[in-house]
Amino acid sequence: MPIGRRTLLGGAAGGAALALSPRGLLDYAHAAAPEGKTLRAALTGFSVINTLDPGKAAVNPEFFIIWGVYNTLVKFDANMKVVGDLALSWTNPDPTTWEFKLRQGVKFHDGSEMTAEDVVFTFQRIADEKFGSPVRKKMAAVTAVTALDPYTVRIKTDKPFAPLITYLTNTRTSTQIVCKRAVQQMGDEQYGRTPVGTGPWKLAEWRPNERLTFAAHTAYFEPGLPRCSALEVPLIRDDASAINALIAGGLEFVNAVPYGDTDRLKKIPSIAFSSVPGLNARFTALNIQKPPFDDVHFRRAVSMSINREAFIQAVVFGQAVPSQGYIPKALSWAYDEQPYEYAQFNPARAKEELAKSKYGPGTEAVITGFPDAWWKRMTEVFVDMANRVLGVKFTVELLDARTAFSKWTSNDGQAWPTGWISLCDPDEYLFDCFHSTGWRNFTKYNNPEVDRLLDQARQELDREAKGGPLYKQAERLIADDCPTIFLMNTFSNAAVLAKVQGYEHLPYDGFGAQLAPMIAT
Amino acid sequence: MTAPRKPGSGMWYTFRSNRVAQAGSAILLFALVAIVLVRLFSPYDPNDKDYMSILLGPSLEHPFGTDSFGQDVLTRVAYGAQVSLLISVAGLVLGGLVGTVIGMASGFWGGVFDTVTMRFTELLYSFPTYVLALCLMLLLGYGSRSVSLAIALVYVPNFARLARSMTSATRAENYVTAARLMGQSPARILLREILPNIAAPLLVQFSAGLGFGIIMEAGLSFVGLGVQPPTPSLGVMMADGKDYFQKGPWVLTLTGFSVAWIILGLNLLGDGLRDALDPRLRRRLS
Amino acid sequence: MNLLLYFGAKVLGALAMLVVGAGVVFLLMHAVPGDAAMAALGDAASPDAVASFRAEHHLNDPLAQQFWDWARAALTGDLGKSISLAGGFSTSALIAGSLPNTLFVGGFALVIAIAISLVAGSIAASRHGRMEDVLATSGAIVTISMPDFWLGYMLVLVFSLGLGWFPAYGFVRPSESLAGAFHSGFLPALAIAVPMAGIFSRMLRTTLLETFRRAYVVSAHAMGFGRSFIFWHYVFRNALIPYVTAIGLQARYLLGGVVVIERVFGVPGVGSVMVDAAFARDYGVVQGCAVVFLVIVIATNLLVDALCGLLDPRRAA
Repeated sequence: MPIGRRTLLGGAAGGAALALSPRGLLDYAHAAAPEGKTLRAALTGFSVINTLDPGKAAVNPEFFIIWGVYNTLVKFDANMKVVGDLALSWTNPDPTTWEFKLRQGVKFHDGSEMTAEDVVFTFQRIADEKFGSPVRKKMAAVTAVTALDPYTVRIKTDKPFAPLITYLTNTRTSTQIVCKRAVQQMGDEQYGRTPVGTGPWKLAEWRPNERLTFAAHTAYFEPGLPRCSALEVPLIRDDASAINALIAGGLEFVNAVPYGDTDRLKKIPSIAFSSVPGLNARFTALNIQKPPFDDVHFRRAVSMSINREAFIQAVVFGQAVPSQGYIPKALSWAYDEQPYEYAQFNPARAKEELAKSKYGPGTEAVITGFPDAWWKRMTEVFVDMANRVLGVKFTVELLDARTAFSKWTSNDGQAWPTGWISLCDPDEYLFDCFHSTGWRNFTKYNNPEVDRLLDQARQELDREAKGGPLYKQAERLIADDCPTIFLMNTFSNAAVLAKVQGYEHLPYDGFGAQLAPMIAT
Repeated sequence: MTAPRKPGSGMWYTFRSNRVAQAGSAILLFALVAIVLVRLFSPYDPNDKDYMSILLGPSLEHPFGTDSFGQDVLTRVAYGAQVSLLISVAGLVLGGLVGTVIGMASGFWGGVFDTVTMRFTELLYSFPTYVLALCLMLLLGYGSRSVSLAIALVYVPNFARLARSMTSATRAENYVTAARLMGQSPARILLREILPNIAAPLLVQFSAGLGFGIIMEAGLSFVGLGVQPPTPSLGVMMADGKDYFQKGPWVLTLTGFSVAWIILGLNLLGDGLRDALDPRLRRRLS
Repeated sequence: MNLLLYFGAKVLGALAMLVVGAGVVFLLMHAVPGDAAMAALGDAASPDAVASFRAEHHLNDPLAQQFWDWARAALTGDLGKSISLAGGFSTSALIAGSLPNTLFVGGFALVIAIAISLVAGSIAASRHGRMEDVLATSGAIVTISMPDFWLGYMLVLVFSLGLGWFPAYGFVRPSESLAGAFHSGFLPALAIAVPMAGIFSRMLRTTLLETFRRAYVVSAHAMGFGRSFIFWHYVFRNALIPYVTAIGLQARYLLGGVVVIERVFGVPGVGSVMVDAAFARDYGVVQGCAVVFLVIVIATNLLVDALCGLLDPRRAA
């Protein structure tokens, strides 16, 4: 029998103990926690995890883990509806006041009870300038957080701030509730490496740049969860290698599937492939301060020269839907179904717009892209399509991802095919990126009417009925100006072994938030 | 003992009787003819993206299949081989020149200069080649020029050490002493007397390095640092093929075969050259 | 006394090299565009978040100050902490976690390469010009002509996706399970060993052939010693010196040059740490790895010298 087929990434928990016994030498592959099953879920494409302190976390892989270690006041379900998590219910006594009733008897990993005191501490910590949380500015609308009693928390904002509810979910918010006692005992830095949360998974071992191992939080408040007694998260840089490991049975779950592998995975009976519209936006950001993209007609021409259906086939093998704005389909209440004029492929009209612009065919521009996997394809295909339709002379410049990203944020360059992932609120997409005061508005787009609509949308606490139309209106105005060429909204693709039960795919690639109910049968 | 021959003819003679060199030349010739033929007669442009025919397997129309942009792999290999070879040659010429100048100078003059430069080459030598090249690429950014510079940097210490040891060995030889006594300038001595006598091993090092240069270009492309698209290079093509290995294994497999074929030819030729040029070996053969 | 001076000079030279090397890497890293704050904060890098990150990690200090702070700590054996690759973990921990893997896979590869090359090289030399020689020689040159990561993928294609004998990805640490380490380390070790075996066996064959022709071997023949006696007592022993030197030269390659193979097979080695750190602009970790590389390479050179001395006492004298 080939010992290794089922292998490898498994067996950390029991492996060390078994290694020295004669049986262990032969049977290392079966070494699992004796009391139950180990779930092996790979994080692919990443190896950087600097902290598991939600207040300090910044990049996706950090949050992917944090979602399984902590809880928040509320959370998104699979339909992106906000439901309770640590809070059982909440009310708005007035537009600037939010009151949350907390669940009772919730235990941290260290056994202590989570109360309103911890919630208050969490928010005060984020607001503390000395602590230096990346989300401090984002939460600036919050003026006070107080505990009315051990199980009631009140949050005050300076003015009505509708997106607040999203900023309290278990996504990339940094508002995951930390354990006050543990933070004060060990200090901020240590807490980032030995986190204490209320979530289903309790960190057992962290091998930097390699893998993390977790034990089940036996006192977790949701009954029967987590179903496995241990969790292993190997950090796999090369996503193609992760798929190989999944096929060979070395993993139960892979959080992201390379777009080129989807067809093949669907044909493998031992694997269940899962795909939902993702929470992301893929686009080419333009430098509207510099030629040639300082001319609105030129921008529209380029936007209409891109055949988005063909683009999607060529770049991600069909694993996306065309997008005409920033807001992804998964945020259905703010998503505009009506076509935007300049976001449609139309070579004839593209040439008309080109004729109206200051620049003609033969115009040169350097398009700065990322070198990794399909990002590179995105840049190449974008350039190829624009060149073919308009006769312009765009060229590709690939830079290492950090450099390319810094160039974009410092407005250095002409155009950057890039994207946002895991943003969960229309406000994050539109206000942050296109409001004249938005911090992600790197190319200084400024449209007073857009500003007005977005300011107003922030005040509408009835988001679906009143906020949604405002976001749609604003996005349509932005799309007319084309400060960014919207391209596609990619699917969130994941693969689990068919024998795994309890998997529910969250659109925001909710890695750690999905693992508790999962178990291999 | 045979009658003395002209210096060049001896080399040619050994080459002709050297089966290894012949095999290498035959392999390279085949590759060269194939490249020329493909470039002359291929109906495809290497950068012609055809989104309707992405990742088609090998067929009569596309003997090596198509890649993830629908580009003809064989045509791209033919163009990419030239790009990769040029990058490698440029890197080695630069590394060889700089290394040889440094090495000859320190071998000839010795002293503090020698100590410092040799320490420096030792330093370069202590870093793993790949990591060294990668850091340089991060610094210089993408593109064929950076790749060439990275290859050059890796080869400077090799050439410097080789040139130094041979220069200091020839320093004591009679013809060098004679030239010095005749009052020739050091530059002239180095260039006219010493260089011709140490050129052979340097050339061998050069030919051996060519193949490695191509492999290094491929390795840098593997982590996403390489030649800017749409320029086809063998390394970039293999890196792309790796990304879509499950969907279209022929891209990586066949490009890799072509690369191995060319490097094999270069290595065999290098071996043959060494036999033909290495005076020690040549003496033994005659 | 002379000996003491000699070694003193050597050690001082090595130390100077370490300092200069660290300085060069430091300057190189800081000249690279993009910075650690960008890497650690990703798309959350708002201006104030970047500012507080830079302040927290002293990235605003003058470069000379930063280098001095780092170097002073390094002299006491403290290689600092990671800031943007695995925040808060010490560089030493990152190296300690990855170096054993590198040493295991590298050592495994070395053993395979040495085993293959000893057999192939000796056969080729002793059957010089015959069929066996031609086969071994052509095999060697074919193997050194293959791009390394291509070979890696071909091995995965055949031995793991095809035959299912070995895992396609992942590495079990030797400290967890020795059998697992051998099993999971076999394909990466093989991918590294195959081209290396080509280099080694060519080297061994050449030096064996040269030694065969040396005067003392010829006279041993004349004195009527048996062929195999001559081979083992005179030829092989002497040919080993350049062979061992050639193996020693592979040390730096094994430490960091095999990053690509490590990536293909998911071996968390020290070269990968350095490359990931370079991409993440984690300056301190890159410098720490560089220092470790330098120390190991210098130590290897000394070891090779000592081994050659053992093989040939005349050299040691």
